[in-house]
Amino acid sequence: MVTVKIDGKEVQVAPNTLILDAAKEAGVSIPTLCHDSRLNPFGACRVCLVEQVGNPKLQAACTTPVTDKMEIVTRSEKLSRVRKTAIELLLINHPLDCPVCDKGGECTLQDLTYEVGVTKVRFDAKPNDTPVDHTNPFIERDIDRCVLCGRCVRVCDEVVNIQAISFLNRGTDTIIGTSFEQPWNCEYCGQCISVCPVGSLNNRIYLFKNRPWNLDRVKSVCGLCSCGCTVDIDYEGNEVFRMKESPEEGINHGYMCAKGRFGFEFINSIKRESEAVVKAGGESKKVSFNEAVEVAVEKLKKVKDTAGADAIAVVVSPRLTNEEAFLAGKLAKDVLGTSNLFSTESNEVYPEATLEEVENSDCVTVLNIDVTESNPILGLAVRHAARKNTAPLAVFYPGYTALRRVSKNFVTGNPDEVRAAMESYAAAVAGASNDYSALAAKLTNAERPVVVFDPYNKADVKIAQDIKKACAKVKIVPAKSKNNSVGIVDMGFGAKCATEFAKGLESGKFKAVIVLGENLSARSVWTKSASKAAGLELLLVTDPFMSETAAMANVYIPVATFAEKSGSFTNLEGRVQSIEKAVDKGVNTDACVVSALAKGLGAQLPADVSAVRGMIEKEVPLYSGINWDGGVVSYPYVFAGEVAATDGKAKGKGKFFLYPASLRLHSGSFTRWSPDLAKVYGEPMLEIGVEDAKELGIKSNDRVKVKGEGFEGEFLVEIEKKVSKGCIALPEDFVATAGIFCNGKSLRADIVK
Amino acid sequence: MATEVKETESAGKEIDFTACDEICEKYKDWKGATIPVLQQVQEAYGYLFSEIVERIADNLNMSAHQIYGVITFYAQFYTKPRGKYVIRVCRGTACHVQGSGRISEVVCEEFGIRNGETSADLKFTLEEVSCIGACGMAPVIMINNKTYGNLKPEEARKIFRDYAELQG
Repeated sequence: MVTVKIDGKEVQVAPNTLILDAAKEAGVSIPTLCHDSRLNPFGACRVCLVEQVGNPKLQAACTTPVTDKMEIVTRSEKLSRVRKTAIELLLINHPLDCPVCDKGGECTLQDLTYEVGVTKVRFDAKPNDTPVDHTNPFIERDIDRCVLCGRCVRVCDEVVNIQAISFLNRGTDTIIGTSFEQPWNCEYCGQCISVCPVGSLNNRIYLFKNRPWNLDRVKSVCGLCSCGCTVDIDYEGNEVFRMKESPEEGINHGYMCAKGRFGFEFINSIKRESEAVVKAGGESKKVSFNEAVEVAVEKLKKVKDTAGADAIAVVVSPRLTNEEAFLAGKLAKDVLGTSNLFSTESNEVYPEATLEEVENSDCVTVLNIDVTESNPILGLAVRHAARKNTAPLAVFYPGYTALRRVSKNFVTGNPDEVRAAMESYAAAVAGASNDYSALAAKLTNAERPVVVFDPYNKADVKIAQDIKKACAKVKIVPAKSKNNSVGIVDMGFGAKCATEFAKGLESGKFKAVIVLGENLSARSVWTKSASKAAGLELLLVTDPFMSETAAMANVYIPVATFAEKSGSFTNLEGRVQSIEKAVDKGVNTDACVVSALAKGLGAQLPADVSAVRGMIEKEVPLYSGINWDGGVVSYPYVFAGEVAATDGKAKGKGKFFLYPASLRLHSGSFTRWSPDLAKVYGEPMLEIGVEDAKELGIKSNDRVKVKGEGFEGEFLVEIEKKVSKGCIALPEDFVATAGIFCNGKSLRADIVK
Repeated sequence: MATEVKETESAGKEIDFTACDEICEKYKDWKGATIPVLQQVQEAYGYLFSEIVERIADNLNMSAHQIYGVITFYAQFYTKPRGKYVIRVCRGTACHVQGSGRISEVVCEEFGIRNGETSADLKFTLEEVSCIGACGMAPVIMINNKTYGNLKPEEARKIFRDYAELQG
């Protein structure tokens, strides 16, 4: 430890601590502009200059490490002058268009200008008038406002590792831009927006819609994938205006993805339903909430009396909160007396490693999943490990993913080759000698190895288990898909196999089905049997939108999205995090629906979050005494049992290998109702490699037919450099594609023009 | 590099990436390889156009945007085609005093190109440089690797015309 004196206050800090951080320890704040504690020191703006006693030169606090007995002065006449000049110089080329700038009110440059007291412009530079760049669908770039702090370039490089923008030219001509002034094309994560201290990079979804001082804010958790990112929901009245990062907070460290940042618009969608619908005798009628519940209760009673409780099934969506899923379980088991609890999730594999452990791992293996698309923040953690810790990263995937840039060991090929490679790798970890022995040695020699895989692909789960068995120190990350995929399992919706529900529908075993938030038609495991649900005595569906399944329902009740309710989600680490209600759209929550159904059936179930949590703590041992805001559940096991060996080879016949693609913009349910996401990616697109497209003579946006054993469909073509030769990919969770992947995760197909 | 120089924009034409791939292969997994790769690829292809930059990026597992940042930072890299003869007119203090500005004008009169531009027939490129280090013979110009000093504008014009008449 070294001792430094800052503005007369003595503090003890570790050697090599930056002056800025030491000052923070001492409770002294130093103004900064280009600094971001998550990025490497840069020192571009000179706003943080401080005096070091005995040194005639000023030091940048954000880049200078402390030395023992260093004495620092952060406030002085001289420094005020220097800082003021630094800001004045930044303002030379900065247009003073604050009244029409979206950043007004939350602009660091504006705040600093006020703080140092620049009131006059001493320099007469000619104002720049470069056209604003709108080539990126989500990010507006106004280059004239840029102060070249480099935070966007650095975050895109150091954190995201996409390097979609860079410093161009030199000296006074320097601008932030793209290669050959190409359209700005990237992952659309918007990290650059979140770090921009001025109004140079703006969120186009929020642009000109509101002023920051009009907005109210709740801190909540994003409900669009299983990462569980802490976000700020900014709203006015009952309209959500933006979802943004909570600076440097949460397991996501203030980073977000395209879906989370730009996909919230469905909450405000005018296409949402506001009234319940009851169908009888081919006619549908809009009714009140209570009437809909009454109809459902009558039918439930009738089915229970005539066909028994076993003819009733409850299906929940992994988008429900823990509290709602628990209530649904109570309703099914205690009130209705059925054990038919279904979801797409299973309790075969539980989370193990936390995101922090992934970040700090010294060897990461990613098995057959594109985490940068399916779970972007987990993707960032993997990249962090590979880039900052230079951990060896092995990736197995048919086609290159964004991880290629940080991975020296990227194994691609067609899905069968990748599968064979993964099997050899697992064997090598277990001691076999083959081509992957060297790679496997990196894993077995590592201290904190991590394996990321797709828990929905049985063949991959098997490989992950084999690796875990051979190397016990490996921590696994099953990359679950939805915001509460883990939590609903904990609440009892993972014990029964999802296929059992499909069978029950097919055989006519179920007469009454309660579907809370799930869209049967868009889930590959159920899509084929979904139509059978239409003829049931009762199909009660709750959903914020009139989904394909909701349209079949004879009782439909519109419900709230995650921004309109309180509760908790359990993320892919097994971390329980509370969500806060931001707005009210005048619809009930799933908890209210369950509670009302219970009441109709003569039982009492509370809808209130704290009451339900009390019940959970008593009845769910995993959650007894849990911290509802950040506590990690400790699971009794990782793999439930020996995973059966599955033939993971591509099924069927055809020229091409067809595999499910992950999408960073959609998972096919809520986000397809967000107009700006839908503009960029509306319908499922067929990804095909450049060479294959050329050979077939097809271009982007052509429509082609994909035909395989037991399926066919027509899709728009998207030519992707990353897709391997002989392979094609389609997203999984769309109604149009669910029917394809119900045949398997790896298929063969032909393309018919 | 013995590869034939490709001067035209690549629109519609197949580009032979072999030389580029060979150069990248040599430097694969080297740290700090970007500049030597760019130098050699530029030598092989004449200048760095967008397709070749994409190719380098793919080969080196880097972002094209980052590479473009490097290209635009250094004066030695060109993103536009270069003439067969690069005329460097020294605009340093000594040459300036001796009237080198007039020599630049002569180039413009003869070939219609200004600083940084290349003539339409891809024969000449004009580059005004800060100092060639031959102030004793100001005003001085260089055409490719040949130096001409103590020039009068009309002498310079004659030299340019001689080059213009050269075949090939």
